[in-house]
Amino acid sequence: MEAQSKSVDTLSHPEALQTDVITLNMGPQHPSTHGALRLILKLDGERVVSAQPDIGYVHRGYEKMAEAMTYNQYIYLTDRLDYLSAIFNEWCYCLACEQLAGIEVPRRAEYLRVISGELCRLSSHLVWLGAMGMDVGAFTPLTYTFREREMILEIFDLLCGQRMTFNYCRIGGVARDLPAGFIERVRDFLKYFERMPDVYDRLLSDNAIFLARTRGIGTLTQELAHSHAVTGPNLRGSGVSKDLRKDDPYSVYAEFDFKVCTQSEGDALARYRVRVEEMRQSARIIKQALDQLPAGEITAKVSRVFRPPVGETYARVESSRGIQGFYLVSDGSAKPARCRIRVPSFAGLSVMPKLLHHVQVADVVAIMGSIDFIVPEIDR
Amino acid sequence: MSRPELQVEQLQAAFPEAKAEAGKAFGPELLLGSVEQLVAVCEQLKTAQEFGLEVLEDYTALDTGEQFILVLRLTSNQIITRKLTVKVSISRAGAKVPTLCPVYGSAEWYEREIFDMFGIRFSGHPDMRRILLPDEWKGHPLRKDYKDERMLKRPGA
Amino acid sequence: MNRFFKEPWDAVLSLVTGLMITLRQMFSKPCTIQYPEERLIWPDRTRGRLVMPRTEAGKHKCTACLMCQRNCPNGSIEIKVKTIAGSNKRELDDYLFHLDRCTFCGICVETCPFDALRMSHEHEIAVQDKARLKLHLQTETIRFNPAWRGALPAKDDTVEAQKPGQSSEERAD
Ligand code: SF4
Ligand code: SF4
Repeated sequence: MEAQSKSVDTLSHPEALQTDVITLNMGPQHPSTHGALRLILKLDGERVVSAQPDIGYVHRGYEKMAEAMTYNQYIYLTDRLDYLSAIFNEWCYCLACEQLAGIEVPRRAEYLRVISGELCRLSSHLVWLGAMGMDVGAFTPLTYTFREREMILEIFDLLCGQRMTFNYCRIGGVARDLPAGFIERVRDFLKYFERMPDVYDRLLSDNAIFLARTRGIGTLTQELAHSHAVTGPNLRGSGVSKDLRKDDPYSVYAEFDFKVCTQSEGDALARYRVRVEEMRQSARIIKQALDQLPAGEITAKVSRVFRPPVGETYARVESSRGIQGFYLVSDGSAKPARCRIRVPSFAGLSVMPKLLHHVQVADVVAIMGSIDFIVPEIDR
Repeated sequence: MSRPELQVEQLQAAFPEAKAEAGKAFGPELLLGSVEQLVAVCEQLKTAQEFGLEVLEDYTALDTGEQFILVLRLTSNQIITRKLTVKVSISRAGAKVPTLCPVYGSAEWYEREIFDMFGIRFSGHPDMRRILLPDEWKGHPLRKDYKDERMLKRPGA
Repeated sequence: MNRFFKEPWDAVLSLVTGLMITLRQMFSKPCTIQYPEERLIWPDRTRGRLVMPRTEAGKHKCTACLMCQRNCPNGSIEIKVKTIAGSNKRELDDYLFHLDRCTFCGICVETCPFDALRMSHEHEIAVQDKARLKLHLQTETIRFNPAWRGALPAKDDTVEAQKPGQSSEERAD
């Protein structure tokens, strides 16, 4: 060995090391994949050569199941798509059914949907924030965000009897009215929560390690985001101000004053900033909704056996991860002929191979954490 | 600032071989005559200034029993309210569908899913495998003629 | 040179800020409870295991109308009906509840026209033998508990008095 006198700078010429490309299976059971997702990584040393997500581990055949269930029976199932923000699934599905049959939802019901939806967005972002912090090595934020999330889940328990699988929306409205003491409880929570985003900011956004792990990492360019139909906070982190709540206002969102938060950098830090800001805005919307809550009915008059006329529709809502869509085709019977679910995480994950190209292994976790996908939703 | 929605006449003029209609669900509807036009039409919808639909938000299929219908939802991130549904019918027996991957990146996974669920093959697709179901799965579940004896039977149903 | 000193200094500073926040938590009330000894009080609407409570007279209210069986999304309920000898009146024979399939959606309670079902607050339902998850609800003699209000039809529910948020003036006149 000593015979080789010439030395090569292997830092600037890594190929001189002649390392083999190794294949690494990340998942399906891996703490940072946020669910049963397998990522097949090809590594050259510390560098990712290619990354292929392998999905379908929790495929349950939602679109097939819909064909065997009545419209009403299917509502509770949609909770289990994106279980961290279940209301949006229900809401979107009910919206599609209402569009099919031309049902007008009472205003109070719309408000209740907005309140529960924004609470859901808060709790989902809180989980994401904790998990994201943990992915890059900060454990403390997780314990704080889960404490706050617990309060939201308790509010949901009060409202609809379950913490995560609510089964709250109904075709034409919501299942039940507010329980006694609910408004007080939410107001108390909001008061408590008001200063929390600043605490997270101080914990994470000013932390040198967190900044080093996220700034300039996993940059999602606008072209890539357009081409892969990325939506939601990930898109807004790339500088596109697109939020259905503002741009295509469904429900009663037009009546609230809130900002669409964007960041132009497109890296993991930008996505983080967008989500923290979104939490503040969600809290604002809830506060306004509680102030303006109208009295009245909570469901429209819908017959028990829901039979929409022949036709088709495509309803979308802005869920906490992006645009959630339901495409329903009715043949006039009590069961949908086709139910297609457009989920935001599917697009968010399909961009992964491009985002993970030529990054360091340690950044894979940070990038995946910042994209915030959720596997049961992708697999359906 | 926001430019107006897509107009049916405008679409009809740009694509004389297709049929443009006022759709109810998601913008106007463009019904293509044959699946061969699909790539060229999408290319034009994406790049031409007057359309600028650079996002393929959703791409799925529909089994009517006699034929399959491919349903595309196009939208834009620049002119956000702009949306368009493109539909094209194909025969149930092994029609050749050209892939949209070169035009839209999201098409890659959507097409894999359509193949998985309906058995529609896309020619020119870089990675035509199943995506959700295991590779050794038999049949394509969302076809109307799919049967599976392991499906749960409800009592009294 | 500036960078050489400034970056570590910033890092240490941000660390101290973080530690201050954590330190403050040490003096706040714990937000956890010691589970088996302490328990949370469940809100009325909590949806626990399905039960068929008995009235004061010790009877259940089910008339075997099969509404719940038809509406349950995943076939957790199987009902056997018998006809009473000498008349063509129907009566409940067996109410088999597959707890292993139930998703606690509450549709059965919501659709029962005779108020025969309730979702109790029982939630510690793990067993070691799957066979014990097949329950025959008509054999249980669980007393009715008015606090079980999970998934009740909207009309029977206790709600907050509806008052529009900002319109205290409106209410006055
Ligand atoms: S429990 Fe209620 S819905 Fe079910 S069979 Fe008895 S009466 Fe009918
Ligand atoms: S709670 Fe839902 S799943 Fe369970 S028995 Fe009732 S209807 Fe069926």
